[in-house]
Amino acid sequence: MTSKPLHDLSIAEAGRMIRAGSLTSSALTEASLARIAALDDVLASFITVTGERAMADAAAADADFAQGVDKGPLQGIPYGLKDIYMTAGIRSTCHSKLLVDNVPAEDCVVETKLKAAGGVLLGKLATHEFAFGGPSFDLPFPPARNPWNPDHITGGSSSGSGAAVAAGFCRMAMGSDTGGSIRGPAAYCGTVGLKPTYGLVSRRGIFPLSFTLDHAGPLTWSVEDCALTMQAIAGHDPEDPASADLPVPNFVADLGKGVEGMRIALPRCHYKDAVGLSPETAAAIEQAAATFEKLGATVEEIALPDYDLFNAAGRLILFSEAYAVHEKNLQTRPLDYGRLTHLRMVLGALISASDLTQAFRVRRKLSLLLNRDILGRYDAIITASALAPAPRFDEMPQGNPPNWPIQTIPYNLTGNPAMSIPTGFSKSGLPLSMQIVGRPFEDATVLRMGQAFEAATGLTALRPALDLAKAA
Amino acid sequence: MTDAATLAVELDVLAAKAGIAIQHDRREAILAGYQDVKRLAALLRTVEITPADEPANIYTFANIVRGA
Repeated sequence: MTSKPLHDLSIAEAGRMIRAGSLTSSALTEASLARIAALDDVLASFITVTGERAMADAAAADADFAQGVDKGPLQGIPYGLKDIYMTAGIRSTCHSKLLVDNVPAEDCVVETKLKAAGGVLLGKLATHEFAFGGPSFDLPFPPARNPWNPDHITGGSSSGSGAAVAAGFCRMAMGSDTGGSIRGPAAYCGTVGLKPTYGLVSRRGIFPLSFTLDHAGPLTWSVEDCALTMQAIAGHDPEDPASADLPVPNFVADLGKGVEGMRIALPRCHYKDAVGLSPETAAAIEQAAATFEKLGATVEEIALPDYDLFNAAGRLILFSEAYAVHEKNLQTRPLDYGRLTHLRMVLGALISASDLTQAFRVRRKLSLLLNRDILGRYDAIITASALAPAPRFDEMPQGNPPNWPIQTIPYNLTGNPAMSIPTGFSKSGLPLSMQIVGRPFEDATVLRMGQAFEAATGLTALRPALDLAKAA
Repeated sequence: MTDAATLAVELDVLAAKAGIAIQHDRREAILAGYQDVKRLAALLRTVEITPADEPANIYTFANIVRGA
């Protein structure tokens, strides 16, 4: 039994209580919906709350438990989906005027898997428009706000996912990550966010942004919850052309085994002179490296090719592929997009085929170098995620170029698993973060390292001080 | 023409070719974005693709004829 409030329970803790008979999914779901009703008018993390559906899902989960049917760790657990995840019969807007009335006929594969695992869908979460724009006020729905301080952005594009997990509305929220859209909100909101290996989680039914860079993955409050979610959503999908036909690894088995003997690479060259790096972020990464060493790992500084090369290749590919997805609408109804989305998406029309091809050549070169030369010698890399704590809304650039102050895109380019994890807090009380990057399809190692770090630092105990008088 | 004028002409030609209209109040921001895209593309052109980067010789003319 735990004395924690319901909104602080992890998936594992809630699951244990439900299975012990001291909690029901219905009670947990009702508390989640009440907390959303009390607090989300400020945070705007949800676009659509599916209250009736959630209570029906929860009742079904409870009925299954009563009959001895246990579908696994997510049974009876409330979660949310970024609104680019298509859901049958539930409006799926991509936070855009263009799809404001879009009600899909079919679920995306991830939702199908979460349903099959007995999860409870609380609703659809805010995003940057089509997972691409910025935090914008000219869209049909307001931008999500950071639970640690609502004057600050959540990061994006999985903005509502970060806010909802940090606020304790959901135990887990699904995001998507094309240049950092899971890891950015995780970094700014103080959650765990995993961009799995490219090909590990099906993207079928998730609105595309850049099909060679898009990844689907979870944001959670703890690493264990992230692993439990991955166990439910990973797997081959023959209809996703990028999906890997490999057995689903066990993401949970190695949690708790520590990092003793592991070799960790630290590419300070990528971030130490970067514009916008906060001294607190850099110091927290150094502290994290020291923590890993105390836990028995070896941490060595390494050199990588210039960050700007990763960024340049990633941005040209992202702009080109995003434009290809949206070309017709950008030609015929450009002003139905939010201003920032439009300003940035049209850039894809201006890139030559030859330049795009060079971006793919460089991508291949960088991927080989990273995986053969670096991860051939090291088990993982630790590096910066966001370069500084979340900025205020009024500090966000409103034009081009879109210089995002995060260093996540290299691992979209290479497809390696990369997880953002909290490393502490700034003096202003906002979360700091780092990334742990692993070898392809060794996501379990990334999770193992993250769990060891999390256990050593105890950071999951700290939650945003929301107005609890208003909350359930 | 100045570099800025050349850039503006390029933008107009490419936008027309792509069939996209650029609204007056967004032109400056899109032009700045285009300038940045050109900077990124130029940076990528500084990377030499060697035979070791592409053992199958599928990327570039120069690698395929090397040694011929």
